[in-house]
Amino acid sequence: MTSEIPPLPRRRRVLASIMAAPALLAALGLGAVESWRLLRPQSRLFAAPFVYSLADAIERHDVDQAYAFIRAGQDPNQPIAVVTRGRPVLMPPLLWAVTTQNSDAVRMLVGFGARVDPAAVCLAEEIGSAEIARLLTLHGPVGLNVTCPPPLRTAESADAAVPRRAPRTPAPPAPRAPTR
Amino acid sequence: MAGAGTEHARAHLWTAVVFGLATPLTFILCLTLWRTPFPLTEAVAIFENVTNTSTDLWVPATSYYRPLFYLMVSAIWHNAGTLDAALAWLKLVQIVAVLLLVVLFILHLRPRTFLDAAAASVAVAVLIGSPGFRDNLELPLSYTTVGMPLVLIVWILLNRQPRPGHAPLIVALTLIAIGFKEQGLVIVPVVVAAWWMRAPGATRGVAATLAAIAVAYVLFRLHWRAEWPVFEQAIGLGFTEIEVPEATARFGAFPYFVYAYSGASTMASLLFAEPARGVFRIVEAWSQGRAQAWQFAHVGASIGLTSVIAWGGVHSLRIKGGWSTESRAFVTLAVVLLACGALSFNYSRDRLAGMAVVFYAVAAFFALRAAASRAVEASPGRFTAAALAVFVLAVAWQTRAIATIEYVRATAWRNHMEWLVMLPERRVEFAERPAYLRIMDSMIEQGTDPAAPRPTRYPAWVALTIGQP
Repeated sequence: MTSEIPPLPRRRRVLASIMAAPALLAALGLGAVESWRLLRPQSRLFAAPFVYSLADAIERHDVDQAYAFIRAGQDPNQPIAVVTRGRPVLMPPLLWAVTTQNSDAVRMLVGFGARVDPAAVCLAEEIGSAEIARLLTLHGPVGLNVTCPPPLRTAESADAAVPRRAPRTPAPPAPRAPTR
Repeated sequence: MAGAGTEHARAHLWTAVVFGLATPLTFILCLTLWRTPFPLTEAVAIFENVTNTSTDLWVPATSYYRPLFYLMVSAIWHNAGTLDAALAWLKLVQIVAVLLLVVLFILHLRPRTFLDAAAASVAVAVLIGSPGFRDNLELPLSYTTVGMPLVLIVWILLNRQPRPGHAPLIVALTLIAIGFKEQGLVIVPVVVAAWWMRAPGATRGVAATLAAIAVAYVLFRLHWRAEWPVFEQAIGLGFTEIEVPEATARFGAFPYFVYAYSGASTMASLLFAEPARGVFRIVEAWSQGRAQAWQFAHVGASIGLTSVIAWGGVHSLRIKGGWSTESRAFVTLAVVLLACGALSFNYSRDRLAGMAVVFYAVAAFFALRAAASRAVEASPGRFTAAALAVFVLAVAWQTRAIATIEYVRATAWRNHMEWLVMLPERRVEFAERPAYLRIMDSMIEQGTDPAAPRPTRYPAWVALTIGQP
């Protein structure tokens, strides 16, 4: 059949097919991916690896799945079972987030009801996470007094033993109108 | 009559084919936008602004002047009834603008043959895959997304025989576009250039009216000039981005070189995909041996298509017999590009080339069609080379269009994460602004909804090819 088509129209058709083929493939590919998303939303293509607990999510730095536990009703102040230094222990999620140096989880937990206590601030100081310590003192309750115990391992952390009152930074000047 | 009828039916058929090819991309893009949460940054401040009754939307007190955008947000915010309804309406503004742009674009191209339809399918990918379009898809910032279909409507009207309502409509659309964002001013040179090129719908009256409006607008804005900072946002220069204080200290005394650089960067980002935000990131990555496939694809696709457009444009200008739609589109692209560059003098961003994307895509259609028509008459060797080049170009632009969807998903995910991790700091930072905190608290539910879109976890080779954010 094609041999009966004059050369120019045939070439035109070939060129048009070559130009349109990627659009067709893109349309079909997108359709297939979206259909798969509808059928298997938990597929590896769309969902993060499954986590078993809030502790697991915090440890894996998966803030979204950690929040899912809070959203589902888990108390952000209820101690959770974690394994640290080879031993199972119970500790508040915030303390675990500090231990794993997961500053985003710290922010999320504080934002959704976790109480900031001096132990969390001291732990952040002890493990050398100044950013998390600053976050906790900034967002802890007004008048939070932090008196950390003497350093356990290093002389460098002696500063942590100095009693101090959590500073409240003044509110920054109101930003201007949105900028784009 | 029968011939005209057949041609009409054929145009319907091929237009329908292009719609069919564009539908999955457009539908998924719009669906993703619909499910995207509003961001904590910017969105809450905008809503706070419209609840502040002491703010006069019409006074250009800052460098940014978008009275109609704020008027629209205010009208929706105060009349929607519920928060959910207000947010839904604001999303619809963005989505309808995108839909209108794609639909009008395909109708304007109106392919009549298979080759036309193929060129149109690439042009749609160019429209959706361009960074100038992609960068304007953030909620609720519909400033330029609204302007893009408006400039396309104006362009369509300019290329039709004038009717009594056309001139007032063009003026009204221009005023609306300017009211949403100053990038709307590019419609004025479009109309003036169209009049100069004797486009059927561009009358002297409408060109003169818009020129007068533009002059009046610039004078109005210059009246508040003393309140503008030298640099409003961080600027890109070479391989680095410079924050406002440093830029002001280094270039504040004579900023005009940096202004020219920023304007040229915006134009170059559309034509060559480099630099982005004024920074040559891809060139830097390439020189350090860490460039990824998508970076080559972006620069290659842009350089390739821009070369074809330049060839097609010059070719159309050389054809005797006066101005054609093709030659007008090419000249208008050049004019709009210059206007976008001029309007982005203060800092360069991909989104600031948004209005020019429409004409880049229109010119791409005409140029690809002309190049394909020329190629079918070439020697077998040249035909094969041309076919290969066209295929590579089409593949590259389709991947860029798919990347736009992933970009919107990544933006949705970023917005969602903002709501999860930024609340404590915002509560401290905005403690003195109860309206801000009230709006923020009321929007937490939409921001933390686990149904928010998230980037597809493609295998690494796919992610590296499409340039997944």
